[in-house]
Amino acid sequence: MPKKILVVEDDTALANQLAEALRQAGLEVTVSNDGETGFRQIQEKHPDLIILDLVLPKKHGFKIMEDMRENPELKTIPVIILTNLETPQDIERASSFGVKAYLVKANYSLPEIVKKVKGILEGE
Amino acid sequence: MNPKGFFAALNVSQRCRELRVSLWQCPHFLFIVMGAIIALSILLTHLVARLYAEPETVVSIIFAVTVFLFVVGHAVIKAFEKVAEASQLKSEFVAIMSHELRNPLASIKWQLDAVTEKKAGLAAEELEGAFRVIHHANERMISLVNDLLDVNRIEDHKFQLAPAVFSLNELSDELVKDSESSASSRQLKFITLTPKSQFWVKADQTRIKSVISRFIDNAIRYSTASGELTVTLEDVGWGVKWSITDQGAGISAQEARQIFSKFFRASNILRYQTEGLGVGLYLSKYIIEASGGTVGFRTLEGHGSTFFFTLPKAKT
Repeated sequence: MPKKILVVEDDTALANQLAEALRQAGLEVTVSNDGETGFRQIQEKHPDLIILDLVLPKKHGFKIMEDMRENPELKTIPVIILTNLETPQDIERASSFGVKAYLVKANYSLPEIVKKVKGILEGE
Repeated sequence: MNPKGFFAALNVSQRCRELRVSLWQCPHFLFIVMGAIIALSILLTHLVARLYAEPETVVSIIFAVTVFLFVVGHAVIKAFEKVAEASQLKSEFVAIMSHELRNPLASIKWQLDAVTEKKAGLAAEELEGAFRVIHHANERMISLVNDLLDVNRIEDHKFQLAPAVFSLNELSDELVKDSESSASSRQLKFITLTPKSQFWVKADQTRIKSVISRFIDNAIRYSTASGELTVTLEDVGWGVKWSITDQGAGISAQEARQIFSKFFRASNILRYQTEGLGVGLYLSKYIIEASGGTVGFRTLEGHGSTFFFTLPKAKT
């Protein structure tokens, strides 16, 4: 059974490109374009990995992580942060949540991101 | 210190203009005022002490001078705060700007990576799709940078308008037509209430076009899915009023107070705003007011908003 990936990203162009690349790598992908829908999808689908943007309408990425931490079933799902923010505070906050990777969008190519995702899934 | 720099620093009004603050908010000027007051008061105290021997008079004069110095000192602190605030706003803005540019940049990078990797193996549709994404990302960056330049021009008092007579009906109809597809993709329908008679206005058509497009875009973006957008043109005697009404969430009283200010979303943009710099309405307001018109909005939280502007009629 293919692994389920949830992409929470409000920029539709980016989300579609990323989803396409992940699908080509044989993964099952769901996309949410805002934080609220994203969190609902996490609760309903229990994905194997989440690729999470931070700046999201309706619910910030960190708020999603806070709410996930409250729930014992959700808090173990691996999360990759994929964002444009790069301040030390954001990176520190992300690592305090125990994220698997913190990637800045424009610094990584799609194959690199896919490789990261696969690496984390296989390491599980 | 080189002498040239020293004399340049003495040209206070020039320095204050560069800092974009008025004289009475400019630290350089306020320090000179303070120095002058201190020098004068020392002289005055000396004179008064010699002429009137009574210590009470001398004490009260010194007290009055101290109070005045305290007030000026307070103004100096305020001025420094203002300069510091401006610098903070600038760095926040740089953060927002780079954040905003990174999405389209990443979009372009990802597409280019894919195209160069596959090269000959790329199907025609795939290539076309890649170009479409790159084109869209590129347009977004251009419009971001243009907005930024416009804000800068306004601050430098170099923003120029090229007024000409044109029909507001025609422009409005054209822009509504252009937005129909993006509106219908969100199940929104336009209703236009524009009279048959032409409303001629004299203004910068390209700029007014950008204002109308922004108002329409906002109405689409902040509408809840499915509903109506009503575009109205009416005669208000001295001028013409254009308005658009949406059925969106409306604007809270707190937001309403600052909606036309620059970087309105600066405080929360990095948390919730998803696209744009938050300067659209600020630019629109400036353009309309510089064309002799007014802008405004009415809103009912939970029931939608109406944004409008007026422009004076062209003299025929």
